[in-house]
Amino acid sequence: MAETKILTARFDLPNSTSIDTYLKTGGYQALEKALKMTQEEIIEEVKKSALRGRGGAGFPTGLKWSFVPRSSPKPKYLVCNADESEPGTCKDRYLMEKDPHQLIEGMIISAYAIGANLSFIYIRGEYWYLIAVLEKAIEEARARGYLGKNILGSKFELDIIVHPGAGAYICGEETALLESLEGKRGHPRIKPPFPAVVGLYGCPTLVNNVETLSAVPHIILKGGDWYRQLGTEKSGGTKMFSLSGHVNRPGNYEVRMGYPLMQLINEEGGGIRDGKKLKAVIPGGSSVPIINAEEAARCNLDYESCQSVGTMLASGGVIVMDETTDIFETTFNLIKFYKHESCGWCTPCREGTDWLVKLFKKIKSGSGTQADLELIERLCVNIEGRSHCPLGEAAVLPITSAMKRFPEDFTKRVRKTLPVLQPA
Amino acid sequence: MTETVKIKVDGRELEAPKGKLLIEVCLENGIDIPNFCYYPDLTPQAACRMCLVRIERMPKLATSCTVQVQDGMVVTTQSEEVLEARKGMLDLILGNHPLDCPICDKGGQCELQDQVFAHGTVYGRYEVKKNDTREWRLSPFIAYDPQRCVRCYRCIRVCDEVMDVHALGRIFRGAKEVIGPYGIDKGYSLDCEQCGYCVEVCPVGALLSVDSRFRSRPWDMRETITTCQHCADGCQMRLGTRGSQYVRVASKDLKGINGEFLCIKGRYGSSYISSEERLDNPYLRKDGKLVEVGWEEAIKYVAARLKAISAEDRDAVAVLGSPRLTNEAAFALASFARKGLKTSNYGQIADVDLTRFFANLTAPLATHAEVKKAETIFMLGGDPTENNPLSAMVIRYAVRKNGARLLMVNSRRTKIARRQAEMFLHIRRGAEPAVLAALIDSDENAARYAELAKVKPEQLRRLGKAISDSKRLLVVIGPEVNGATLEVAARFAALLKSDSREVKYLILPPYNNSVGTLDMGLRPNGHELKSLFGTKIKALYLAGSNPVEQYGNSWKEALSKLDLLVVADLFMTETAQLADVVFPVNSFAELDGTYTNAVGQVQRVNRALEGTGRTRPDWMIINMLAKEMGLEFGARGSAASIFRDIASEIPAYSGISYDRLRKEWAIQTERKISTTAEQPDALLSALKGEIAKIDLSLDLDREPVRQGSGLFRLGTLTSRVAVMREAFKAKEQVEEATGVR
Ligand SMILES: Cc1cc2nc3c(=O)[nH]c(=O)nc-3n(C[C@H](O)[C@H](O)[C@H](O)COP(=O)(O)O)c2cc1C
Ligand code: SF4
Ligand code: SF4
Ligand code: SF4
Ligand code: SF4
Ligand code: FES
Repeated sequence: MAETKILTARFDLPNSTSIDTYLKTGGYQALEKALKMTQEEIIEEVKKSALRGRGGAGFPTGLKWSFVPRSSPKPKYLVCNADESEPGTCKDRYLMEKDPHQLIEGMIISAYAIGANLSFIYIRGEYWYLIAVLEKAIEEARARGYLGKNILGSKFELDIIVHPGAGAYICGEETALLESLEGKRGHPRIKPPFPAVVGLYGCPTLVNNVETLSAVPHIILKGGDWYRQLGTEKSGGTKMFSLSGHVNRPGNYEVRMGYPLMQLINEEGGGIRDGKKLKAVIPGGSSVPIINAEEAARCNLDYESCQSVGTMLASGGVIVMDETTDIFETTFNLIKFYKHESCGWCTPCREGTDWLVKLFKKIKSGSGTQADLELIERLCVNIEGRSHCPLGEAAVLPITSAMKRFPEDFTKRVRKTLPVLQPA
Repeated sequence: MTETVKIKVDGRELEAPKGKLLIEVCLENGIDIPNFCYYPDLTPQAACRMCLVRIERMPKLATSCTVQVQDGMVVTTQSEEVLEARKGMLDLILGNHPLDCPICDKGGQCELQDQVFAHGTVYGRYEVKKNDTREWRLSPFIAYDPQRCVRCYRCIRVCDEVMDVHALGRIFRGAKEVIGPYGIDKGYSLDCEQCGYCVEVCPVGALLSVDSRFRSRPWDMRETITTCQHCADGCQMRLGTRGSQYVRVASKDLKGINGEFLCIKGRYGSSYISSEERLDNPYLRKDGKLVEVGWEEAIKYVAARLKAISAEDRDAVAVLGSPRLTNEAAFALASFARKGLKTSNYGQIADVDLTRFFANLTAPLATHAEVKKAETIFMLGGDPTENNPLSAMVIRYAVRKNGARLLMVNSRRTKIARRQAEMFLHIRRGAEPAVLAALIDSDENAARYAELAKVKPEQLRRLGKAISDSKRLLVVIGPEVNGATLEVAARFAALLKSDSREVKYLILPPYNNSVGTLDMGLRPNGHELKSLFGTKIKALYLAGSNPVEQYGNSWKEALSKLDLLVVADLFMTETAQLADVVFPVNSFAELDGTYTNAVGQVQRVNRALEGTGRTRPDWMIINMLAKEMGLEFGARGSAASIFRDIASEIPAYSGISYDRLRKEWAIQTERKISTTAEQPDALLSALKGEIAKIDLSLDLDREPVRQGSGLFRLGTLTSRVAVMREAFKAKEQVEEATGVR
């Protein structure tokens, strides 16, 4: 097996971003087909495809679409989440950089399916150079009648607005994203209600990831069943993985769902660099539990298999670490990230990540004790499942999993302490 | 009717309206759930995570401050898991908390202390350094200590949702997050109404009132519940005193008409009671100079002079009070004048004459609680945001919480007009009678009225339609509506009332006891009597009024024509300086009494301080004078007994007593409501003269009303409050720097 290029099929074509290239290679045919289908038919097809959200949560996409109350008198919105800030993940960037029309076509079909007439691409500010690419593509699409009023004579109307974020990881969380898009400070809203029902400006809003939306034209054109069979029963289709770390050929690779993790590392990635042994893998971006080499060997790249070895597929950022890696250091690095990105809204994440960083610093300086490790564990318990949004949880999963799987990297740095008398 | 659901909390079956917040259901049923970010009436936050509970079939612990109860919900609030989570949250909060309780003003009234006390030991070992930040002075009134802040955002929400000022926000992120005004990091300060509501709701000692900081521990202080002496809304407040000194005003957990609301003057405008400038002895003019004398000498002098002048002509002695006096003082003053001196020249100095309003009232006055529930509000003039802040708050509440329709007619672009009004008719100054006439008259004349008011006829029509569409109408009348227009406004309700439409009034008079002193018989005739000074009137007894400061030279000249001027006041005011005798009176904090607020509610003024023993309540000075003059007017020896006379003599007050007030706090007086049918034509002809007075050369006043134009005004009392002076100065500086006024 090797890569299965569906989303990335056009990446190597010359001028891959231009509408001419796109049209020559079957572009906007899915849209023409979709506009002849009913909204229900489109949603049904997406449900059949077993496409699951590529932004991290892996929520079944068709089901999410069906939650949007299409009969609501309020306007509906489609928002493409292009905030891609998860450490280890850089697939959306490629999708926008190499094939913006695929995303735009996916957005038009999706907007049509839920009855939205205005849509947004919320793009992380650091991707400023992609804004021009997207806006040029949007202009091209508008000039050819794929955007604007009366798209392809269907009376359906849609526009796309590209809106850059200002450098906060939390604004990738869909409700914080909506706050930010409304011009407010980005912090997560209380759920329920979910954005599908009460989203942007209080109106029904569909939020989907770049990769999710980019898959939609293929599903419409070739059918949900076709897409599903590319992957596994519950995880349909192909997915892009951003392979990074101690491999010989880091990069973005598109493979079928269910593809063996080790095969991705060894074949696509060309193996561990310098012939070293594998120590650990974070398979789904920084927010998921780290696994060891033995677990990696049993892990396939689909939602169920990842879960079976105690981790998650999430955004598909595969971070590979060889035997020279000090897991304490990598964990420290991650917790610093989460501390920096904690929005500050809720107690556990705001205070917890700050405290954790201080404890890691103390241990790194050599003055840590066993009691500090216990305190870290206790703090993790205090945060996990008690924070307002998943960021708090994401901050502790790497720590708890690392301490469980690589305890010696932590214990070797601390002094034993005499048991401290706990107050009664 | 909302459906009732059954839920089970810790094994107890509870019933509650469907959709109510779980935490509210629990708290109302005596099940304690710790919380910081929950606050009644404010948007839920789910931020502090103190209120976590276990709900069956939910994967994680849930925040009870955001969960709405559903039928069959099974909740655990007391399990080991839940208690552990709470302790865990306290642990995290304390991780960066300075725990400087010994020097924290909040110590002893702090919700964080209470929670830690309730949950016992937390586990933090504090072996890492806490983040330290310095304290920030947000404004002359408010300081912020970020380290103590638990990030509950109550402050931000009261400012956004209750005050509609939006002065506070969250700045920076993560553990560095603080609350503050925009640009605090650049040294900007809080540009707001300075109501201190944010300080009041802060559960910890993070937001603090500068004026009372480091002055007292809560338990070292005596708190007396009393009534604000600034505006006609009559907010209830806790006056904190220590020894003989003012410490602070607070409103936490108060059950009065204002809840916890107070405005800048209510919260920060009372420290004048402990001002160095307070008079402490009577003064008598000797050889052209006012010198301190004993009471006996002063009283004897005044009694002899008054007696002599009165003997020649009873009406040569005038008695004038002010709308600031208590009912008891006003009643004593009026009785003294009428029955003792038997002069017909008595009343008060005030700009707004509500006599014609009350004499023609055709619908009852709404209480503030009723305003909150209003469905349609028609406001003719008035700027309550600046002058009657509680009224403004309840009007905003009606709009925010109940979606009340606010129809506003005003010659100025007030904040309510800009922010809450669904319909704003910006009219020419003085054109209120034209609008009123348009609402009464037939449509044919709409164009003429529209031209007078400088609006479009269509706007008048839409206003009329909205009023006739209403089911429950509140008519708010501003202080610029006076004379015949005010009378017609009072009779207007008769045309609107019907079986399907309830109508009530709200008026916005300027002073704390504008309504009560009028009820007591002090008519606002001061300006008329002034013209008789030196001719018909030779002597004036003036209580609690400073017309020279308020109106300037014309009063100064008039007063100088008198043979005898006696002033009873707190300070050596501009007016007192002209007097022959000055009596030092007790402030509202040193006496018992009552005020009647704008909505006609009688509320108690309670003595919080003993005073120096040399100052006296106004009514007591009157008694002393009358006794010395040998006059009998029914003098009473205590405020309580004066109030008994009030209750028996003034019909609206019958049945009200200090005893009832102690229990009920606020009792609305019953006003006579005319039930005679009104004819539109009669009302229109009453308006004719007023309409003729409209000055058609006036253009619209397009300047928006500036925040603080009424709130930060310095008067006789507030200019003796240090922080108010500071705020005023700061405001002036901003105005000077920006050129915007
Ligand atoms: C802290 C946090 C950060 C997130 N960042 C992103 C992101 O950068 N891009 C993204 O597509 N989804 C992100 N998500 C997931 C979104 O909330 C949301 O689930 C997703 O956009 C839905 O799209 P999908 O169903 O197509 O995956 C983030 C979630 C959390 C909790
Ligand atoms: S978990 Fe962190 S990022 Fe999420 S709301 Fe709480 S503080 Fe903000
Ligand atoms: S004092 Fe009042 S207006 Fe100013 S920030 Fe606090 S709540 Fe807002
Ligand atoms: S200042 Fe007080 S009210 Fe405001 S967030 Fe901090 S603790 Fe809460
Ligand atoms: S609104 Fe009026 S009564 Fe209330 S505190 Fe302010 S001045 Fe006092
Ligand atoms: S009270 Fe519920 S989270 Fe703060």
